Amino acid sequence: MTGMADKPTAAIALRGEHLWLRAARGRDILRDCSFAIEQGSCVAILGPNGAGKTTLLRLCNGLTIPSSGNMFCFDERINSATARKIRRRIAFVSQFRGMDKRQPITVFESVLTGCFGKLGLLRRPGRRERQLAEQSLEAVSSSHLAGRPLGHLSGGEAQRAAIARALTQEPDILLLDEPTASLDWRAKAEILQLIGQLRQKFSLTIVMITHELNALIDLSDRIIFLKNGELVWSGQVAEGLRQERLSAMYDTPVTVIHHHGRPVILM
Amino acid sequence: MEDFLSYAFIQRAIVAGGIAGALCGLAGVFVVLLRISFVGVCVSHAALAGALVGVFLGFPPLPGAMAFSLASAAAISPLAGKGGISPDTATGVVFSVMLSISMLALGLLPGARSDGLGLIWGNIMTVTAPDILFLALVAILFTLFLVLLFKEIQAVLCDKESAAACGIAADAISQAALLFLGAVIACGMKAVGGLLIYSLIITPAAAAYQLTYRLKTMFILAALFGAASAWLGIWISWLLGWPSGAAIVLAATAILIPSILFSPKKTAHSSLFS
Repeated sequence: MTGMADKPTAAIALRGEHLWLRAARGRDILRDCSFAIEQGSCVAILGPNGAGKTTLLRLCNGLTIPSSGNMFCFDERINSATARKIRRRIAFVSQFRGMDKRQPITVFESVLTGCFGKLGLLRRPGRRERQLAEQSLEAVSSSHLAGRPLGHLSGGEAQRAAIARALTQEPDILLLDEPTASLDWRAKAEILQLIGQLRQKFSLTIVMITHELNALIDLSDRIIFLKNGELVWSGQVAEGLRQERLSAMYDTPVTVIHHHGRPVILM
Repeated sequence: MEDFLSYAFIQRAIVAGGIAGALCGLAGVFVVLLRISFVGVCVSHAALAGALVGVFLGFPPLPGAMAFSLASAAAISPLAGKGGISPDTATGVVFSVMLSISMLALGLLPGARSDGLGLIWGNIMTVTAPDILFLALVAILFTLFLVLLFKEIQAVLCDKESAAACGIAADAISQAALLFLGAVIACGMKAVGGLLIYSLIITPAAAAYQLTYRLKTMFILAALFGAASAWLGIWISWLLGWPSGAAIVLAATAILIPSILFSPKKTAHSSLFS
């Protein structure tokens, strides 16, 4: 990634080297992707649908193992033998898929499950873990939801609960797959603001798939553009949000205007 | 009632029915929450096929049922993972193969086929002491699995992908649950019959699902409903001379209907949409 010389001391949290994910037939899902993500940074993965964004995110925590190439988390190589251990320090909030309203689990219980991987087999969650879950709910301003059945939450509330579960894991790295998908305007704004706050508060490295281009200037440091399984560009946010680049990325005319010195993207 | 309980075969039926019913209820919680009801159907037919093949080859039915149900439980997910077949289709393929093996073994059985037909319909009144021992063994192992790995099971049943993402061996947990499902079906088949065992898996768990938002309570209720269905069924069967398997499943359904009608979850939703 360009510009790494600016902060030579920052450790590299996630590094992909020539990652390929081959499909049995047809086009490969990811082709020769290389990138490095500095510790403490917030990186947005952008690209049209089907570009391979979720796959790239899942390679970052070993939920998917590449066909070839190497994926590293803090210099430890992720493969099928190490993935489960490494995953304990990488929290993952998957895309909101809707929930069964009758699911037999409360919000608190669900948030508590975040630490179960780290806790290890045959150990029950004790006081420390319960406190941790309470603090996580507090951090996402959702303590009042603790006793509610998980399935009764609205989209925005469910997303907060999912982020709280991720925080209970006490992660170094937080992966978010379209955290604002299918939310209303207000919930979107609140979740994006929350992500920014949590990053500061917990010194997290954040990798996020998003289509919220207008929020990136405040939220992210860098952008990775994916298209057709290839990493086509990566760099600073302000440089990435150019009219020609976005129009070419999404194959549709995009207008970028500047308002009080900030880029505003119109589609 | 005293008269009813004084027969040794009834006593055995009550013990076996209670354990098999509770086990089926517990296994059903996994089937309901992992949404793999078709997998359950498939594994129960595999057990039937294995038992019939066993009888055809002159073995006792239990080892055959065990081998087939475990093999089918183990085969479904790898088969679904490869070659672009959807899990649903993979299950359908295994199901049809198992059903045709059952029919083939039944068709080739010489004589009156009463052994083979007995496996299809089941008869809890013919349960023997070794059958009960085997049920008890599976019950102990299954209970250990549930108690020792409850937190992992809870995470997987709540959201399998998130459980895997935080470092839990989610695939291993759901594979183990499938294997237990196979074992429960194989050892409960004699009581309820290969065709109806699946009903005793899904129905008590479905009833428990209606009544609680806590997983632990759901497991306990499902086990109680399963055992109660078996006992009620045995009693009806003795009283009216009905086939025991059918009586047990009808008893389970009789528990499910009020659970749905009076479900607190139903009320909560109606008020949401009204």
